[in-house]
Amino acid sequence: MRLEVKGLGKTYANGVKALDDVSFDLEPGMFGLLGPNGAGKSTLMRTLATLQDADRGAVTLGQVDVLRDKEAVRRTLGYLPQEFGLTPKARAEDLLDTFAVLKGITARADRRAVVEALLRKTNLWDVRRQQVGGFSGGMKRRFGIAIALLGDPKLIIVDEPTAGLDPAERGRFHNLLSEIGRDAIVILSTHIVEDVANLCPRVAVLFQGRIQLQGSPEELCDRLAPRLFRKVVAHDEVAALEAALPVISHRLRAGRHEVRVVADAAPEGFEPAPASLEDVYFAVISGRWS
Amino acid sequence: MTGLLLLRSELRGWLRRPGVHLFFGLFFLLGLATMGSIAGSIEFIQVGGFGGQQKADSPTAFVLFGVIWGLFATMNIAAASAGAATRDVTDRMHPLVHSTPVSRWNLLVPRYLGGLLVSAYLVSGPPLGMLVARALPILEPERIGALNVPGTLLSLLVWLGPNVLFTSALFFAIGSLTRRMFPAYIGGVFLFVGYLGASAFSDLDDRTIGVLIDPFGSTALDELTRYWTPAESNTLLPIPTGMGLANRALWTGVGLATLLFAFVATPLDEHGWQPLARLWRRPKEVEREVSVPVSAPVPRVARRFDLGARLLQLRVLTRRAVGDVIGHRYFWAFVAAALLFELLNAQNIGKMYGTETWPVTYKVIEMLEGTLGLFLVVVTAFYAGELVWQDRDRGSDQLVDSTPIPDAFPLLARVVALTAVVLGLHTTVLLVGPLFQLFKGYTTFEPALYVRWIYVHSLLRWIPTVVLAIGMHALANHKVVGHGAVIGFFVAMVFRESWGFELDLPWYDSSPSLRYSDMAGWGNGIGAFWVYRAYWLAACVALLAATRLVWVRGTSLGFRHRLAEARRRLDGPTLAVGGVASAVFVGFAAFLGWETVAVGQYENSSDTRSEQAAYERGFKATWAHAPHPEVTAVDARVDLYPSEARALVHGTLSLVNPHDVPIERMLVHFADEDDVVSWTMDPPATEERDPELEVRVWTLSRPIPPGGTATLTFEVDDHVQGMPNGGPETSIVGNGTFLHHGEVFPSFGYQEDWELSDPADRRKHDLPERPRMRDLDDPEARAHSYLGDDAHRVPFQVRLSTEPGQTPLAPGSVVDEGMDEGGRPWRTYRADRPILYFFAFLSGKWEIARRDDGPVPVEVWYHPTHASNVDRMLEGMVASLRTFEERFGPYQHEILRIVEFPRYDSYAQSFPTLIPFSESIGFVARVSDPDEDIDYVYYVTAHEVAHQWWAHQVIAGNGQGATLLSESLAQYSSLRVMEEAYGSEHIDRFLTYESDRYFSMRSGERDEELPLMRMYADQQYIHYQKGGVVLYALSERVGRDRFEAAVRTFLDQWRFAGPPYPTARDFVDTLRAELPDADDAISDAFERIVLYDLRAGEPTVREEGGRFLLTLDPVTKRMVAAGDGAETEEPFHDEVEVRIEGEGDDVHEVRAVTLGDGPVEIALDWRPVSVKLDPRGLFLDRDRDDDEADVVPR
Repeated sequence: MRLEVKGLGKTYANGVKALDDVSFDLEPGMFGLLGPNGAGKSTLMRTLATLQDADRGAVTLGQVDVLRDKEAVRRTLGYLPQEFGLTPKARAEDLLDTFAVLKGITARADRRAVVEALLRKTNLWDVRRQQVGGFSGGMKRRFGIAIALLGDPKLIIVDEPTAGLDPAERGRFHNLLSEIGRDAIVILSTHIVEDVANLCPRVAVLFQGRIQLQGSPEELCDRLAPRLFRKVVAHDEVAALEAALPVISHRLRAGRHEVRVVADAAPEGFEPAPASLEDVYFAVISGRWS
Repeated sequence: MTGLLLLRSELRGWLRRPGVHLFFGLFFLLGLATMGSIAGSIEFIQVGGFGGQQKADSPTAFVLFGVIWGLFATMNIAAASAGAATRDVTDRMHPLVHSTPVSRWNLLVPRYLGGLLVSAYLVSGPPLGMLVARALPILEPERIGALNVPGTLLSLLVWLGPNVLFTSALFFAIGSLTRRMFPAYIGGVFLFVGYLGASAFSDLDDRTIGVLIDPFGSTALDELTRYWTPAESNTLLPIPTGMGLANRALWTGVGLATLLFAFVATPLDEHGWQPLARLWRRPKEVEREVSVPVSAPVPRVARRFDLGARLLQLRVLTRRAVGDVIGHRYFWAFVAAALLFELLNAQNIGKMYGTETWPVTYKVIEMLEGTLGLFLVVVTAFYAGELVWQDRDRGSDQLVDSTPIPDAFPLLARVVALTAVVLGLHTTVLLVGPLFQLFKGYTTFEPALYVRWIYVHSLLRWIPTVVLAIGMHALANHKVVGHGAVIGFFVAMVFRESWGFELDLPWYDSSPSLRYSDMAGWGNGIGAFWVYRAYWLAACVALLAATRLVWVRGTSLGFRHRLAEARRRLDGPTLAVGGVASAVFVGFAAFLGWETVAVGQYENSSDTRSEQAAYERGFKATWAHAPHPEVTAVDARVDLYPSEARALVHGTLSLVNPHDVPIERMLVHFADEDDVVSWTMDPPATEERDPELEVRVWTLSRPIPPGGTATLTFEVDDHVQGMPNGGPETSIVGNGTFLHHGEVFPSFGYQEDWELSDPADRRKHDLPERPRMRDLDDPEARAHSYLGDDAHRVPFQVRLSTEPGQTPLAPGSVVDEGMDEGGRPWRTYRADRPILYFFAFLSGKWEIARRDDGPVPVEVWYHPTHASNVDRMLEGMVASLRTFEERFGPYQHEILRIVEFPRYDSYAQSFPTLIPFSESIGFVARVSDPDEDIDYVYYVTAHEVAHQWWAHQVIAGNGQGATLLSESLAQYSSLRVMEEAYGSEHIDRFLTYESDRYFSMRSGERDEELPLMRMYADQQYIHYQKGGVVLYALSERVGRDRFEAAVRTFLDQWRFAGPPYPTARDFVDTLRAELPDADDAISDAFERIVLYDLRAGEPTVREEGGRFLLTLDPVTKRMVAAGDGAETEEPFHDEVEVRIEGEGDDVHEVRAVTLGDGPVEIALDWRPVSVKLDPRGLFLDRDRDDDEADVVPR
């Protein structure tokens, strides 16, 4: 199974170009889609999840034309939207059972088995009789994953799954994500670089509606590493450096600022820095990658 | 200071909202249209109870409509006041606002005042609209002219002021205590229910309660003004006193107390008042959390998307939608309110004269369904929106929309769910109905009728509404716009007939009315009902197919995308389903249009009025005074086919020319032109027809000379043509046919009663003013009886046949009977002496009860399950016959029958020997305790029997006061029969109801009130209500025997007389001659409108030598009223009955005392405790509460 996206474009009525000639191919496995808020990630996710139409381009999943044959896509899709709500008074197992029917699992025994397995997998088995309205953010998100995993999907789309989760909950969620997607295409969209760095063998950065670059995290880091330099300065020096140099980021380190720049050679006082995916990301969104 | 600033910013915020001005504009237009309707020619609404003499711009009018339309503003006041109270929380501003150092009072009071002022702004809309309308040149000058601005302002302040204060305080309190809007809306619904509940206390006995508990004061307002004459309503200020004032004070006080509580108890946070906040706790947070990662394999299972799987999906979605509605925390509030209101309303099921009717099943269902209607409308409109937005409101839309379910399923599931909810609410009828029947001791349960009514008829009635509401919400894709559209639809449906749109066909979900009757079942309307339901179901399917196209799935919301998506979804199956449904719909529309308009000859009532005007213009000048022949004998053969709603009539009418000029041409009318099969005149005649006006002009080959005769034979095939509009044919029905002669027999000459009678209609059609009736002293009035000018008394014979299993029935005695081919029974009825040209043909399956111990045999023909009052009727007939024979002379026929007919009309009518009596009045009455309940079955029976004398023995000419000789005398006679059976206290109570009816109906008089002798035949409140009271009082004054002897003298003089026919003046002259001592009283009773105001004042007592001297110094006023109610006081000097009560139950005495000459002293052997003037209500006195007073020792 292969997902091919070709020249996808979408312009909103207010003139915003949400997607601009987006193309990529995916094989089964985790694919991280990085991008700041407003980069077009959700538009892309929703388009792939048959919830929105593109203006231009083509998407195929195996033999299926994703933009036209929505029903066929939906039969093999698992989708976790960025924000969602659940019937607050429904019990977890009942609600999951309802979605199981909607996904075509009609035999009662099958449903029971699948629901149990997914609740165990998402670590919600113990609270299966509780009302989902009482779930914490992380539990809710895991429950969403359980819904997404119903019906053995071949294409799984998770949009910003870890936003707003505390570190422990995020860790649990990473574990869960790493479990799935051995033989499915999993697209994980996020603006949290760490998620992708931890989970995805392949990543792309979407910015201003375009795929700015894609590859494996290591490959991307390797490409950036020779040109990445850093320097620790005092607070009042930052502004001057930003004005003078191609700064991609500065962060606080023990009260002082570590400034990173992308340059062909080290500026004065700067030293080479080890490149992380985060640096790649910042380099792209600050326009200093190329 | 801070408070003032906050109030200013509060108001600025409100006034910046377009919605506020939009609603103000709406209310303003409402006022404008109201004024235009009652005083102008706009056909916007029909306003009941606002008569022609009442000026449309009086303070009373402003207050009346201000209060009524103000009711409609309740929900807006809820929005404004609760909105003001919850705004911080809904805007999520409360952490910021509540952390400022502004005090609680400075925070809350300006909020409340802002809401209050906005509410006041809204309710000022209707009065302002009325005021502005007054300045527009659309009103008739004679309907205005009572404007009194300061008085109006004061009255509005008294009535609307407390309403706005109370409602806004209540909603503000609910809003601030719950921090939610919705409870306030629910509160609004309950308030409305309370208001309707207050109107349930409308019977005379418990009206005081209703006056007090109606928070909107409209019951109090009604109580205050119900007896006001036009003159009074044009000049008096409606300022409440007594209970009305207490009502205003009570609700103002409740409002202030509520407000104070809200100010004190409202916590400044987002949770609201703790005791309430607990009611809607969120689900409990799950705390236990296991963090062991589990790696569990997910089994691979089969997935199916075949038909069975699809149905399962639909079921699951439906269940989910139903669950959302019934799990909605306010749903059960709706159900509770509906149940409460049903129970409340059930108490009031059909009362007449304070006497209950049996809760027969159709009555119970109709009443409960009517009650439920308001709730169904609210629930349908509200939950249609909630369901369409179910997933999006909750945020689960993307989860559901990306599952592999067909596009139509979310829509279908919601339609099914909402239908199920509507049906579930209907089920309350099934729960409350039988329970209520059982409670009332009625045990004829009809479960099949309940089930069919609710689960078939009501279901079919509500499906289109559900589909439309959901469709509108789906299309609008904006909750508020959707609600607006749905409510707009309901409003349009309520008002469409008063807007002049009478044709059912184009109005979504309309169909001709269907009334169930125990006798006739579903009647002739059932066929049209099924066809119309099929028609609208086809529309529903087409609408569903269209809604599927616009249903939002996914996140593309732009118009362009929805259009593109709709085009994409327009696939083969959708086109096929929508196309076929549309074709069926259009086919039905064409069929129904053809059947209703072309075949059924549907006519809008305004077209009918134009035709009436055209008839008057075209024919009056030539024909009004042209001589026409008169019928001298009737011989007919009538074959009824009840199951086909058909009657074949072969009539032979002997005619004579009673005039002294020959008749060459004659004007002839049949009720339905298309039914006329053939006619033959001897001498032969040629015909010119005006089919548009349904008029025929016959020119005779040989003129009929003066005194000469002619014969008309005709054949009429009376049958239903095409489909009905509005309501079905009700004369000829499966069981219980009641066909008046006028529906199948011709009439001759110009028909005055076809003329437009309403002055406003006449002005609109440029017709001159027209007297409502011929003058009392117009000699032409004596030429014919007021029943018509086609004939005088005629020999009558009919051979009447009907379907097997039924009995044919007509006036007269059976002289022959037999069986036609096909087992059709026939009977020949012949009147044993000539009768008025006034007869009817009946057929049905009846049981017959008979008594032979009266002057003639009497029978009651009744529907088998309606036996409960049959004995009472038989007894009433026998007693009436005996009394009237003794008092007025012999009954003129050999038999007398009461026969039940279906409830399509609710009256009884007296034909010679035959009294058709509606199913809905006497047969279902429940006179459980004759000492407590007024036995109106007995009364109506006696009244109708009396008509055998007062109408059939003596009938007045066609002029003013005619009904004095029939209706008033029948009313008097029945009072005496009732008195003989039940005692005079029964009459006292009855008269109390009658004078209440008289006083309240005279305030709605269209033209002018006239004295008894001059009243018009359609002034029923005079001939029934006032006539009965006045004749009874007069007879009590002169003594019953003397009075009835005088009446009999009149009857003996005029029995079977005419032409010339007697007039009311002849009757009054006879009374004068026979009762010379009662000259003034006779004059007051018949020639003038005399009203009284008696007040007991402060009676005192002093003890003197073991005796008690009671001093009465009452107020006694005697007023002569003009036609518009303006009163002139005249001195009072009259003998009045005074009932004096002593200590203990049995110590009392009634004395006749002459009042009007100052204080009166009465010596008694015992200590008087209280006195009551005129305990029997013989003096027409508007306020009888003050006739009674306790005696004060001096």
